[in-house]
Formats: sequence, structure tokens, C-alpha cells
Amino acid sequence: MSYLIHLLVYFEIFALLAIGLNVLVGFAGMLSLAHAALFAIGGYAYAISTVGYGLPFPAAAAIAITVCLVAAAVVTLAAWRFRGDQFVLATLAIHAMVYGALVNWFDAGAPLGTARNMTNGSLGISGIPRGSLFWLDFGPTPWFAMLCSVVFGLIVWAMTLIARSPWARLVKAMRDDELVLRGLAKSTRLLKLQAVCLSSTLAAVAGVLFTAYQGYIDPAAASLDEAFLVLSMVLLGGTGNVRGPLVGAAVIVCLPEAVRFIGLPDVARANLVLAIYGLALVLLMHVRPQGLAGSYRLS
Amino acid sequence: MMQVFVNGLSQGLVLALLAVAFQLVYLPTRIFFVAMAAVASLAPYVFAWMQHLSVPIWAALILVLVLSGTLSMAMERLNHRPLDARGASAGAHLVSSLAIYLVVVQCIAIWQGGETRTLLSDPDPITWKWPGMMVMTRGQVVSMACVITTLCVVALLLYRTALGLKLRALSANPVEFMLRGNDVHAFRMLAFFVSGVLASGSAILVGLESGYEPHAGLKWTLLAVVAVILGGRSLLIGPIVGGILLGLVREQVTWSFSASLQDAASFALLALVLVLRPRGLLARDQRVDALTA
Repeated sequence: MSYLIHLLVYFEIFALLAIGLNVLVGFAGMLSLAHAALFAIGGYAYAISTVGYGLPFPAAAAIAITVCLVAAAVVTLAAWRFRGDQFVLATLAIHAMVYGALVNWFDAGAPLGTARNMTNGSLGISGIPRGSLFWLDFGPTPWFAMLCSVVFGLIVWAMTLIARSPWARLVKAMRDDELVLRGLAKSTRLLKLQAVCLSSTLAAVAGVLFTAYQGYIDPAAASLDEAFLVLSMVLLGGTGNVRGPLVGAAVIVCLPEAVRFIGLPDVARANLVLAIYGLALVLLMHVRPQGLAGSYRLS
Repeated sequence: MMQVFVNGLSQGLVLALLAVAFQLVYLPTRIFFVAMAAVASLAPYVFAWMQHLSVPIWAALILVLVLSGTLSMAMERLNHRPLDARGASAGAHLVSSLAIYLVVVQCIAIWQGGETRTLLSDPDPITWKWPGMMVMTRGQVVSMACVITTLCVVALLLYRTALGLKLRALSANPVEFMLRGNDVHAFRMLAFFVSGVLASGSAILVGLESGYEPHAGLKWTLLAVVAVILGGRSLLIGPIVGGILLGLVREQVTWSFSASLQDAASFALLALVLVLRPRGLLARDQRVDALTA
């Protein structure tokens, strides 16, 4: 039972991450490789707030979301300035700089969360509490799973409403033809800012939940492999609607478990799972570019 | 200072070769050939395997280069050409190229494991020393000589042969190239073949000097992309200048700060160029209609 709860928590966290990236890729048409970096920034902000400064769960989560929104301003600037391949490269540059900061912002002689040692470098931050809210202690896994489920349910409900809203139609129109939308006197810069903010908020929430659940975070959360994994989730499941990222997250969580029964060594199993993701992506780009359950073709 | 320059030049020339390989595909096709990283990752393993089978070095090298070029051509024929026929976007090409890279690299990891290896069994004992100035290893000299020779051959091919002229024409305007009765597909295949050969050559040089592991190809390919953006959209001189500049910057950052800051510095430089001069350092001002052609 606890194993199933563990899978459910991971599914909900990855689904939130994928829904966030889908806002950029599927709704706004901006292929971003900086999403894992924002996820890691959210997780680190929560970790530093709780471990370094002893803040309670609600305050730490709010700080994580705020920090992510500030970091997202950089992505917004890139979105205003660049399109297509140049935007992808710009987000890759942002990702690389964030990863470099997470690895190098470290001084063994300084306490965590200070200007000299903000992230603890490659050692990562451990002993991160799951926190509590009023009388609810999220330390025990079932209670934390309940928190994840409530947050997940609320966000999916909200995103379903947003997806049907006039705002979403405007953003999709911008995705399809930005020039026409600007000709109709719509502010595409404001739309991009709003899309990036929504996306980074969801990434921050996923980062907080992931870090709190694991009790540990290190720079690997912002690695290029993670960025590709998140992108694969969204593209596999589908873009342009809310159900696509959910399908993608389910595939990402369930496939490693299915491969477990093949009987390969652990390391080879991880490699096989990634190879299957790659093969599925290639086939999907040829046969079904909108993904398994998406509505927007990457074209 | 000289040591930094020599080390940076050595690294930069390899980056320049990889950048030319990337640009050879990007300019004619506008495809972000990320799967070139898979070719670059695979080449040292195949080379080492042939060494293990006691194949002479010269034969192993030729075989690896030809196989790499063939693999690149297969990627174009089986992946990018069908996507083009469907009118797929650049994003779809990028994603499928990335996915092919994932598949190949994971297969390498399953076949050979993920640890870093070297193509040389012992450290290179022969070095050239200029007391008080710099030290150069045989590997660095061989690497620089190979890259310079290869770039000269590529330059001769591109600017002194009819084949190169057609390749440059395809890069400049694929539609007019096709309208004049040229076989676009054949020249695209040629571009992919040469790109694969250059990528595998540079990967073997890197493997000789600093080792190889399954994920190394992507890191070097992304740096090659940075070099291309830095230098500009020309077929040859832009990537070369961009690669050398990037190598020097990376080496300076290593000496002045830390090796772990190399990648962050490289991409910070990319961000700076994208903001200040997005067409690249050596790009000339052009008419808008020429840019969009």
C-alpha cells in the first residue's frame, strides 16, 4: 500500500510539473528547456527557508513561489526577445547558468542560506522537513500524500477552468499567429509574461512538494537530463490541453515499474526506460505529433 | 598566459570542427541536428572496440569515420526527410533529433556502461616544455594539427570545388537550388555525411585527450551550437572563430575561477551574444528580405 502511495505522490508531482510546462509549450507555443531549472529553484528556495531559516511550511512554500516568479522574469525577457530556435537556446543558457549557480554557490565554512553558501553545492541539502499546516503534520507519508492529492486536485480543476477561458484562447491564438494578434492590438508581451508566471508557479509548487517529500535536494534536480525528462513527459502525453500532461506523467511513473519485471540490472533498466522514451518520442513525432492525448500538433 | 592560450586553442579548435559539422547541416536544412551528439558519443566506443579487435589504427579510423557518416545519412533519410515531407516544424525536427540522441546514448550505456574511459591506455609521456612559458602534450599537438588539416580540406572542398559551390548554394537558398534542377536530397545527404565524419573525428580527438563517456557528445554538441551562434551564420569562418573564442574563454574561466564554471560561462556568453548581437560576431548587416529568404 505504501508503495502505491509513493507512486501516487510521484505521479501528482510530475503531473504538476508537466502541466506547468504545457502552459508554455502547448498553450503559448514556446519550447522551453528552463523548466527543470525553475523546478529546482522552487525546491531549493523551500529547502533553504526551512533548513537554513527554520520557517514553517506555508511561509517557505510562499517564498519558493515568489523566488520562482522572480527567476521567471529572466525567461520572460527571453520570450519577449526571441522566438523559435533562439528561444530554445536562450532557455538552455538560463538552465546552464542556474545549474552552474546551484553547483558552485558553495562555501564549506559558511552556514546554509547565506550569501557565501546559498545552495551547499554538489552536497545538496538534506534533512528538509515535510512541514505542517495548523494541526496537520505532513511528516507521515499518508498525510503528505493527502496534501499532494488536494493540491493536485485543486490545480487540475483550476487549469481545466483556465483552459476553457478567454485568456487561454488568446494565448493559443498567439501560439498560432503572433503577428495577427498584435495586429488586433493585443499585448503579446503581457500574454507571454502571464504564461511564464503561471508555468513557473506550477513548477515551484511541484518543486516544493518534491523537495518536502524527498527530504533532500541537490543540483541533479536541475540537470539537463531532468529538463529533457520533463519535456518528454509533456510531448509524450500531449500538448494543448490538460489531460495530455497527466497521461505523460502516468507514462513516466508507470513505465519504470513495468520494466522492473524484465529482470535487468538496475542501471541497465534505467537506460532501457530512457531509450523507450526516446523511441516513443521519435515515433510520435512521425505518427502523432500532438502526443498520446494532446490537441496541439508541434508544427 | 601562454599556457591558457595553448590549452584554450586546443579545446577551441576541436569545438570549431564540431561547430562546422553542425553548421554544415543547419544552414542547408535549418535542422537542429542534436542527434550529431549521438554520432559523436558512439564514435570513440566503436574506435576502442576496433582497437580491441586489433584492427590497425588507420583502418579503424577510416571505418569509424565512414560508419559515422553513414549513420548521419541514415538519420536524415529515416527521420528528417519524412518529417520534411509532412511539413513538420523546426520544433518537431529538434524533438525527434533529441529523441534519437536519447535512444543511441542509452544503447551505448547498456552496451558499454556509463563510466568515463580514455582511448590511450597510459598517460602520454612525451611533452614539449618551454620553461616558464608553457607545456604541450603530444595529444594537444596531434589534435591541433588534425583539426587544422581537416578544416583546410573542408575549406578546399567548399570553396574550390563544384561540389562545394553547390553545397553553399543549397545553404544560401534551398528553394532556388531546387528550382534550378539540382537534387536537394542528394546534397542534404552529403551534408549529413560530412557532418557525421567531422563530428566523429572531433569526438575521437577529445577521447584521446580527455576521455569519453556516453553523455559527452551532447555537452560538446551544445558547445558547438554556442560556437555557431557566437561566430555567425557563415558556413565556415563563423563557427571556426566562435569555436576558438569559446575555447579560450572556457580555459580562462578554468584558470581564473573554477573548471565547474566553464559551462555556465559558456552559456552566459551565449546569452550575451543573443541579446547584443544575435546574428553573431562576424555576421554582416543584411537586408531583411535577404535574411528571410
